[in-house]
Amino acid sequence: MPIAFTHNGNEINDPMTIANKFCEFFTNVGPYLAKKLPSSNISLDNFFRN
Amino acid sequence: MPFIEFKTGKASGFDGVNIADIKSNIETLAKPLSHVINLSISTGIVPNNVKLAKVIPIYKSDCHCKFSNYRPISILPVFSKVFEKVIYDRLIYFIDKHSILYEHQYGFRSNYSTNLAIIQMVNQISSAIDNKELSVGVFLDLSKAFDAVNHKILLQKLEHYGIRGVALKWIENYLYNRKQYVAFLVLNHLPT
Repeated sequence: MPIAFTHNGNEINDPMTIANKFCEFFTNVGPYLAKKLPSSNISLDNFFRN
Repeated sequence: MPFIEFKTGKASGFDGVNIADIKSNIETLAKPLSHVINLSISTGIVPNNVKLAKVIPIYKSDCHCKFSNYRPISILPVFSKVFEKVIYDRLIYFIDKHSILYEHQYGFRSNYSTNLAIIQMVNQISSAIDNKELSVGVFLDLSKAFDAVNHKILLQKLEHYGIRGVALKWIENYLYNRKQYVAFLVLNHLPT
């Protein structure tokens, strides 16, 4: 793996910061995508199978 | 105990314990492990140490310098797998008994495969041709589907389908307050 990463235009070399940024990125990617999903007024009950 | 089915030679989680260690010490471990698992099932509490994942970034494509060009591989402790297997067996028994899953759910189920999905699709197309109808296929893929699952909705669905009380509490406890750290190069970044 390379030593340098770029994040928001900044270069990151410190391994601890890189690990932290990876952790942050992997943690937030799911919730970030989920947030972009349109909200719905349809009740959850409509999706249940009986 | 479900250990026998696990593959050996896989990477170990944060504790460095691998399946081979457990297999070779199973006679000593079986009793205390059963005790802890039984306690977990009866209280609905999952020990924090089985909720700690070691995450390894695996390079996908393009520039090595961008975080988004890596996919995370989560490695859970082997003890976590034992807990999961015990719960999975109970959960799938209940789900099968009450035919809860959609009949055309082909992924992640034993005795089902993508071949079955293809057979079903080919059948539908054939009968459409027989009936002089046109077939249209819509294929879609959800980005990060697993990571984007809303846990609150998941728990509501489980409750609706009959997974309630301590069983539901166990799954809730399993899903929440999880921790992970990224193992990058030889440096381990411990959770905050």
